[in-house]
Amino acid sequence: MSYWDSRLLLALLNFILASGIGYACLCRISVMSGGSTLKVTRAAYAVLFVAAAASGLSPLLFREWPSYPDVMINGAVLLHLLSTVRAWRNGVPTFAKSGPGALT
Amino acid sequence: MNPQPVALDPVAVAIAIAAALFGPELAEVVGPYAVIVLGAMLGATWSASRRPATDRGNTAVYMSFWVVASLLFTVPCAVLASNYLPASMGPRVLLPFVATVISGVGSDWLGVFKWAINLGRVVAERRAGATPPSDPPAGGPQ
Repeated sequence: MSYWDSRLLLALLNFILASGIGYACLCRISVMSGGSTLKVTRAAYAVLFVAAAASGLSPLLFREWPSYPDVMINGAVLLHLLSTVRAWRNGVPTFAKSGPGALT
Repeated sequence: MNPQPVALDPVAVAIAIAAALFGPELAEVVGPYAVIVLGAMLGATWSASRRPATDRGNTAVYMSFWVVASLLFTVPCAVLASNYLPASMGPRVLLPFVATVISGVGSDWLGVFKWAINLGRVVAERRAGATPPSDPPAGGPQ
């Protein structure tokens, strides 16, 4: 296998992992709303989605080819998102909820 | 002369897909739009998270719509905005910000336009010298 072929395969693997991250972000963003979710959580998932898109499409957008550490971090982030699937199964989890403050 | 047999093993197919996806032909077309696309995605995800909770298909359609809208309107808006800003802030500098704002406001643009039209009407009335409606007398109707 040539160097170019191995680079292409690594870019494809990186794209698949980044797509998984993007899909997880899409699922969680779809259950968020302005009144029910902390702004920092909404911003975090917005930035994560864009970062995953930038990483997965970096050969196309920036002519930057992903390296092994790039693939590793994307895999780690995807694994982290998969590990918290249960918390998001019934909508926004308690630690990310926002609502009216308690009446004093 | 016999033609070379096409390799159909999974690795060769994956390489062919990757070459089509990341090849220089597509990159030359898409590359200049990189900052606009990423800025539009950021704004679209922010405005999508502000909407009431819905299913992922609806969210994907919403985000795609506003990314495409940003792709269409960012360059003209950036050129227009650069006319009112210092020369150092040319259109290229404004591209990601304008793209983010366009998709970040998202479905609330109608409210923004209504506010702008109302503001323009108030300013026009004041310039025309129209008297504002008087406040009702204190203590209720006599």
